[in-house]
Amino acid sequence: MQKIEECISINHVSKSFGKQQVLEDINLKIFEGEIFGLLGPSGAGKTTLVKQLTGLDLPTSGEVYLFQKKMPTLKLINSIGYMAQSDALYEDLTAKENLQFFSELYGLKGKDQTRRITEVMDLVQLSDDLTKLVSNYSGGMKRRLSLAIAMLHEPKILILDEPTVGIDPVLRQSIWEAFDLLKQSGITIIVTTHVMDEAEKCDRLGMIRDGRLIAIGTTRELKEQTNSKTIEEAFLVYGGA
Amino acid sequence: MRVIALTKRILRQIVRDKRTMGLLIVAPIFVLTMLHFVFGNEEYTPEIGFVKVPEIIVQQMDVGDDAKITTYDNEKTAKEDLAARKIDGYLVFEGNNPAVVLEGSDPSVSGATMKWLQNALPSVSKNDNEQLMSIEYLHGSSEMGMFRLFRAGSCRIFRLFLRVFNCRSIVLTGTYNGHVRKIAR
Ligand SMILES: Nc1ncnc2c1ncn2[C@@H]1O[C@H](COP(=O)(O)OP(=O)(O)O)[C@@H](O)[C@H]1O
Ligand SMILES: [Mg+2]
Repeated sequence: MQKIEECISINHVSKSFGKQQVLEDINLKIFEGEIFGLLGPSGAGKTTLVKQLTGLDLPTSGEVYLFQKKMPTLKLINSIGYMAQSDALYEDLTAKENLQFFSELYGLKGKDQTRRITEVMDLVQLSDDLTKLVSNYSGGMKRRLSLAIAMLHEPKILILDEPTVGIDPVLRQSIWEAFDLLKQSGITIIVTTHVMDEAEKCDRLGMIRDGRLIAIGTTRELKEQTNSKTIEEAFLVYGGA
Repeated sequence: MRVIALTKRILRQIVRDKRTMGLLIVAPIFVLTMLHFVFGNEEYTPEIGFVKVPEIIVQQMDVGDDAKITTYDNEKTAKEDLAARKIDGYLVFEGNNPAVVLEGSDPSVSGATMKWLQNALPSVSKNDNEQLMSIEYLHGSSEMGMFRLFRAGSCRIFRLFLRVFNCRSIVLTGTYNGHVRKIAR
């Protein structure tokens, strides 16, 4: 590999909601062009952590840097593509109208807009359903449309919160292939998941439990360190220790 | 830029949303139609009896097509016809003073009759503002009685009153297919 650039740096980030501490002293570095997975059970704090990266939420203490700039900053908004865990789509509009709306927010117009809409919809295999009302979409289709919207403005960092929930294995496979393509074009992808086999496909993995980062490393490292065959086993070892 | 995108999106959503469209377009039409039924009684052609109206005045009057005129020789037959609702009111001259007797159960009809009479009787409404025209009602309510002495040329309040009153009669009788005039009696 060439010289690895640091892309995201999370320093001593803690987050509390009232008395409940959701994130506890998280330290993490994510490099350019890698697929980084955040693995943890439901309620571990994955969504909360990812929101600190987007600047949508502020940590109670600690700092987040994106491209050496302290978050939150408006300058970096166009560099981030965020797909929330729950779909934020306009159900009474068609998929195309949703895409048009979001691309206009990013300042995409005319031919560029049409080209990007075609590209992202091809990627998530929704080209045939472009003119359907989103309210008539299935759950998986909505997830894919959200993914398409997150990728519309060709962001350098793609933050995806449980992107493949409700998507069938075949399509999941093709979406992961798309992630690999994006990665090769230099895009950094951060994915949260609670599905172990999905975690295997990430370059590096951060394991979260009860708001603490219990392990970081490549999937191979994590398995080797714990003498386990699968990520699932590794997770249990780290969690039980 | 963003404002335009936002506006476009909201407009699209409004067009899609049937309930909002309904509130925005159908509801005003509905309300206006209802208001038209309540207030829009301008086209009514009153049927008016003339009792002993001097020939000179009739000649001066601008009768037109807006009212149906029946001439009576004496007040008694006019009153009978009024009671039988063949006419909506009659104009009677006692000496030089005109008097109006209205059937009075439907304010909108009374209003139309009065309006026509004021327009038709120039001597009453224009030349001689101080002259009082006496108005009587055959079935007049006590509320209407307050307006027995009707000062010609200052009929605004009277009309407003009629309208408000008419509203009330519609509220009372509104279920009968909108044939308000008949039912109100
Ligand atoms: N806005 C909030 N207010 C209060 N508690 C919250 C809020 N957001 C998240 N939490 C709590 O933080 C914990 C972690 O949530 P979350 O980050 O969504 O977990 P995950 O995405 O890993 O399933 C949960 O216990 C949740 O109830
Ligand atoms: Mg979550």
